[in-house]
Amino acid sequence: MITNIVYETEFWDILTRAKLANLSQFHKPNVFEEVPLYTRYSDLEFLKAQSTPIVNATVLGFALKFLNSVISYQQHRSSYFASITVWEPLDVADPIVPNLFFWSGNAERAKRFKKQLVLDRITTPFGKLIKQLVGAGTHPRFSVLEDRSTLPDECRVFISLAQRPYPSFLPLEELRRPAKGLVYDMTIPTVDRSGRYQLKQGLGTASKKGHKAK
Amino acid sequence: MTPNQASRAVLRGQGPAGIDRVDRPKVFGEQWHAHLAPGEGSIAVNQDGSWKHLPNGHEPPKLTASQKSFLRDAGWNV
Repeated sequence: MITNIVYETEFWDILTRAKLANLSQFHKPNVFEEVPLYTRYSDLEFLKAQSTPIVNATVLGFALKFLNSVISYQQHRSSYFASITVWEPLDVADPIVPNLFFWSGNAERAKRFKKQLVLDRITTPFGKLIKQLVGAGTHPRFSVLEDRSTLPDECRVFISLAQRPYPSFLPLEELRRPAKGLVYDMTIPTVDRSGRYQLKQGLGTASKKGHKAK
Repeated sequence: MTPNQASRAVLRGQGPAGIDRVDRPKVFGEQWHAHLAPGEGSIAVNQDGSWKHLPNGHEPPKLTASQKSFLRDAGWNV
């Protein structure tokens, strides 16, 4: 994980312009939002000399530091959840866009929330790529799970703290339920000619409809 | 154009003025929505044309012709 302190001022400037620098807004009661940490690729102009993998690692490294800041900002008596989420980009040449996904509520709302999200272990090539990025650093230990149910044919990766920082914080594992009918192979992520993340050739193709043998 | 392509166009600076971002649904059953301002909880228009985060008692803003055209191309009912 790349955590270049030189870039942090730039990232905080982006968050300020996007009205995301006030951390108290992520701790309102009964809140449920997912907001991108930047909204234009041109925001990352200061990284233009870097390759997409380096940009992705840098952006994700900052996003996880930001997540730690958000979670540390306030402890909740009722349930609270915060995570960085990343949707798979349309084109592999596009940098990833981390989102802050945050939720708060009482026990009744927590039950509904847990039913609304179906997270499962990482199996897609894109998910594996993000997991590699997250695991390669010196950050506190994070959990990484996948959502393949919210949108057909789109994968969203959730990254949050593996351990509860306080009792009412919902760890990612509490939202983990196997998605019915989804079968994926476990192989090394690669990129195909159209720029999509794919499973390694010869071993299978990730698909919403299941495993397709070659 | 799909909503995903519209989202990418906005990220690339190719969307109409006044559309800050195009977001995916957070959970199953929600809709794609286009935000008209930056930040968490800013006003947004759902794919079916309904409004999200519209303060009580406020009239929805009027979309410009280019915003309507862009969103219609991406499947919005506006």
